[in-house]
Amino acid sequence: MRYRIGWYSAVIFSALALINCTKANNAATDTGAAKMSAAPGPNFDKDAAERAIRQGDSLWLRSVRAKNVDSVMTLYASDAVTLQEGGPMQKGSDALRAYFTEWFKANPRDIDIKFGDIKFSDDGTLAYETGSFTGTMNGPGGKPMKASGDYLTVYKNDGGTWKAVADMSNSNSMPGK
Amino acid sequence: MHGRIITLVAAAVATTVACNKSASSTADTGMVAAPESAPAALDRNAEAAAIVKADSTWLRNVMAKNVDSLMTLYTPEAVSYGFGTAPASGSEQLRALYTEFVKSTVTNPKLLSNTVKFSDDGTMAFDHGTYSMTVAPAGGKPEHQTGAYLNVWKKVDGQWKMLAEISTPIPAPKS
Repeated sequence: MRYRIGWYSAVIFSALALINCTKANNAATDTGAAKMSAAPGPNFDKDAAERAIRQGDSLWLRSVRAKNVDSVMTLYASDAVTLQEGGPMQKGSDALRAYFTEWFKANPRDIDIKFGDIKFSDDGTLAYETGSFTGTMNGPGGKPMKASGDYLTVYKNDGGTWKAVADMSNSNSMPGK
Repeated sequence: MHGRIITLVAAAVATTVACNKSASSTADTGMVAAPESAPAALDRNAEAAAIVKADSTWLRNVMAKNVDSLMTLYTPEAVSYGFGTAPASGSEQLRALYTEFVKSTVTNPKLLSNTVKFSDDGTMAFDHGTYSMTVAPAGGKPEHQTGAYLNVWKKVDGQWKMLAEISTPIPAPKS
């Protein structure tokens, strides 16, 4: 059961992360990528904000590949929630940390993500991103388990840094089909 | 098939609060109306109540099988990600999705809305929560479903409309 949960969670977020995924990565601290160059407000710099979120996506993927929970956690707000298929809601840093730690034990790999649009509130303080994913992780008994689906992630601009506050993913095919 | 149902349910999740009301199948568009003139300071409680009401309106319209009224709850560019089904994007696809969905009958809906949060200027919001309901496909066997949903909203001409919705099955909470 957990595998699935972990998988989808991770995938969801990985969706965010893919852009520069060619870097194989180091597990050193890696925290600055989601910084925004423009402050929120009526005239906020949308392009800069989008770049910042995409950088966060990239960092997420690098961190997942490195199985670096500390780096992944820098991308979430302290009160973030993740709602993933088959598992209960995970809320707050401790729950998310436990969730990712468990997920990494299932060796998520071969993640591919198609990033969709990022859209912003008028004042540039809230944004959401959609997209789709495919990937593999270890299922019960270590058997490789493939999955594909979609994700929706909501971000909040926290003092110039974009952090995920809520995300959810699901499968777009029924089990067994 | 029931994956699609679950998807919709996700949106329904939000809706369940006032779902005991029998829904009318006439035009039902006013439930989401926010105060006529937006206050200078965001009244988060009032706006959160408006969003929960919109969720409720959504569910009533699903139960009433009123697709026209459902469509008033979405922006033209809205996207819907249901479990086990292809994404729907834009009014035409959403209408087709819900036209299919309302062929099922939804009963016994329950909603637990966990959170409603806003952008600082109150023009965008999201809410998430959990749901349970019984879904009976046309000519099929009723099935009890539990899940979670996440919706993103935008305030358009004083009304909260959905920009994006996603749902997924999760276990029923332990009682």
